[in-house]
Amino acid sequence: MGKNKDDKKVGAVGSSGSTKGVKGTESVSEIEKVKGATSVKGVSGVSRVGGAGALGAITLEQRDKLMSLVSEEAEKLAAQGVIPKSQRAIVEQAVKMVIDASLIESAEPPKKK
Amino acid sequence: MAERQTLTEEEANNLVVEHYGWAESIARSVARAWSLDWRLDGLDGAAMEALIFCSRRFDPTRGIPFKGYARKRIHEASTDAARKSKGWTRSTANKTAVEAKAREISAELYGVFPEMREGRLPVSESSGNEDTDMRAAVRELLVGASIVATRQAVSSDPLPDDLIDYRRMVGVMAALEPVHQWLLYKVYWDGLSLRTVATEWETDGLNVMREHKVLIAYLQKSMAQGKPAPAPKIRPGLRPLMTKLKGDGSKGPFTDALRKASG
Repeated sequence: MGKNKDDKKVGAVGSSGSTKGVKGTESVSEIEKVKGATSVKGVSGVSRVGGAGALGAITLEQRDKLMSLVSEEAEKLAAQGVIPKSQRAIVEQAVKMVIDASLIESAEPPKKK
Repeated sequence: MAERQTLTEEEANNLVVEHYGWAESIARSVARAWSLDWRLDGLDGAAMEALIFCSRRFDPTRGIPFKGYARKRIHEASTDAARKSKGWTRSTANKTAVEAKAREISAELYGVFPEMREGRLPVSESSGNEDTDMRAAVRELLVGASIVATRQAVSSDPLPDDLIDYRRMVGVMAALEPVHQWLLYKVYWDGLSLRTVATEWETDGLNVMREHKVLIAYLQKSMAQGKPAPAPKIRPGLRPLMTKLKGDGSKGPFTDALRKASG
């Protein structure tokens, strides 16, 4: 004969854990007003990558303008004491060289003799 | 990562034929600026070699035009050949000391401003006015050249005036945040380009380029007023690095140098 399920007795009932406490909710200290959206002031042009018209691109046609800009700015910076006076000529020439070596003369292949 | 798709040998050879005149013009420009002979001093060969190399490596599927891809490499090959040439030292003996020093500084400036090799001034964002951008870029180049000149002067037989200039410059740099000091140090002392610094710091190149511009403006202001201007704030993109450096206890290379110098 099988065991009668009613025969099972409950041994003991453990005590249920007491609730320790509920933290009080914190008050909302401040509510900021929703600020109005500002209009977009403008959209700058998309810079092109490489080739003519790229950001900061310089051409041989701008050479004279660039060279005089370098002289002008070098004079100003030396007068302000940003460039030591003893270095002015060297620094000015160095920048002119960098610019000069960056300007391509002509893409045409040289004529063969 | 997608596999590189290079051209066939015939297509690559066609690129060389099509662009050799252009590559030679780059070599001629470098020679003209540094008063060298583009053929005698071997710039033509270096440019041609770089052109052939680029034609073999060029991947048309990446969407970059060949000239955009090759110009910097051809320019670099030409300037490297120029610096190794006999003309570099030969003409130095004939030319003034100013020209010789200027040439050394200009060669180093390409490390700081590699975009110049592509015929572009250092303009990271446009103000909308070409003249203003050009003037600001020229100023940035001049201040950059001045830092290189001051550093070079001290490294070889400095005059008392050079030492005073150097100390003044280092003093101004030492007032900067450590991360800013490291940026200047890596570029002007270690000879890294701004892009390389950005890669090393795992940040966007524009972050470093814009920060460099801010630092140049700071140096300009500080040198003009004879004392350090308020140190610029660190842009958000570089803040994680600032936290790391502060954690390492680094005060910055220039602060450390000044401390050592004062005993």
